[in-house]
Amino acid sequence: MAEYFGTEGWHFPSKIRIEEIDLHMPASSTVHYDLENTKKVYAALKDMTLAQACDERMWVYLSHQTFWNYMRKRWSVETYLKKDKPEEAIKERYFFMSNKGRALVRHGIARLWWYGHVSYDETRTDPFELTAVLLSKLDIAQSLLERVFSGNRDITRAVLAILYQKEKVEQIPVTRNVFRSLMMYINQLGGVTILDALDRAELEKLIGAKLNALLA
Amino acid sequence: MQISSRQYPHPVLSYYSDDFPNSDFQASLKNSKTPNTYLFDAECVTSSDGIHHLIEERKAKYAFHFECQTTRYRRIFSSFDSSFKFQLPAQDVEGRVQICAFILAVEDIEGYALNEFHPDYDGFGFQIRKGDILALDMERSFYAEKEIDPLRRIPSIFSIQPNRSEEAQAIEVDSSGNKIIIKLAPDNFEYYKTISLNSSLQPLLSSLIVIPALVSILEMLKHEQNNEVDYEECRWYQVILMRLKDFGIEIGSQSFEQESTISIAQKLIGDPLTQSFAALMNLEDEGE
Repeated sequence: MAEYFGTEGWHFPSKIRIEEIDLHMPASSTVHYDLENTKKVYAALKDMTLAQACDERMWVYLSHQTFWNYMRKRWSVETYLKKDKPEEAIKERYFFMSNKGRALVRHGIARLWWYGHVSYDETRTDPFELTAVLLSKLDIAQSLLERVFSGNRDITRAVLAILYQKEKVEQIPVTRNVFRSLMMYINQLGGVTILDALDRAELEKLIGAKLNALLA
Repeated sequence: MQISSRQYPHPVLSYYSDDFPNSDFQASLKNSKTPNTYLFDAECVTSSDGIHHLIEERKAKYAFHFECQTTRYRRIFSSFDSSFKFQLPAQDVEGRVQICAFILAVEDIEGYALNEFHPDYDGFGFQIRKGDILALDMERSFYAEKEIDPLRRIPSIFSIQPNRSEEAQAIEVDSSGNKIIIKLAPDNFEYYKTISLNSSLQPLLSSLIVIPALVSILEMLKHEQNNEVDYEECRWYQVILMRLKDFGIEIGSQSFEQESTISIAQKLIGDPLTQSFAALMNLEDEGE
């Protein structure tokens, strides 16, 4: 940074105060510790407002300064150089892409906070129990968080609670196709029914009934 | 949430369909702002006696759905009263906030049938679930401003930066973020830095750097060449929009189409050309 910017200022103090966060370094190309790191980032920054949590400047600072070593290991730029548009991949993980809704869940550090935000459930003994469901398979986080209804935490937590019940309690696996069909159903339902008008118990009942029908 | 002309599995009172041929639903919303909160006064009215009766029986209610793409905020504010107030924390929204007004079912309704339905529905009853839309008004939006730049300082929506790319052009413009970023080749940036220390030469820098960038942006808005980025979410776009309004110009209007972008840009920045000539004349005077 110092080499690039020279004597020019490129950052300023923010009013957000956090304790030091020591992220787990990815152990290999498949062992990323996203769940552990989500817990660390969200627990430290849980009280941020939505406006702060969507501010590109803060996340870009964290990814280039505080968590630079983690970023270099987790989102290695060298692997992007083999891609068609390496600059797009770098922009997506180290900065914000143009689509702001998606940018929040693609940026290397912001995504960890948002994973925690949509799944943290203080009513559970382990508030991160649903976060573990969210990050248990590659597809779940992406197909859930990139839907517009995921802005409502009650909906995301209802989906994850139903998945938890099915897979962990009843030991019935939910395949990728079934999960995608469930997401499509919620999207379609949202065209007729304003899901935000339903409480969590009602959402869980609706989503649970559909999942049972898909698995039947 | 964008409500286009959707088809519903039951009759819905709306401005675009004839499901309720002689009824209407209108919702108005007035907003004001304190430093931390947006305050809303809602007024709803429907001429459908059947729906009105459902609201009186507490089987339906008036509702406003808020959604902010920037912060992913979604929330509904509702009431059985036709006039009600609610508050939105300013820290939860930023940029464009979409608002939809509805009348929603509060409980499941079996055999939903009203006298005001189109005659085609005579003899039919519909199953309604809690949360289903019974009536809707046109969607609207408001722009949640965060420390928006004062209009007179329009250049502050610009950020001038060095372009360290190996293929850097003399000047390039990036309008995909909240500010319009003007990238100058490294040598040019050094010239810019040196000259900018002399405040009397600011108009010259505006003419050389800001005006061409703004003309390029205005041309882009005129021709809508780039549809990939939703400019309404960008702060610079909202500031330009408001500043144009001061001059009675609206994007897409005839006056915007007819007036040259270079003359619009000069107006927006405050005629830096004339000020530049004056600055150059002063330099000449000083040299003599």
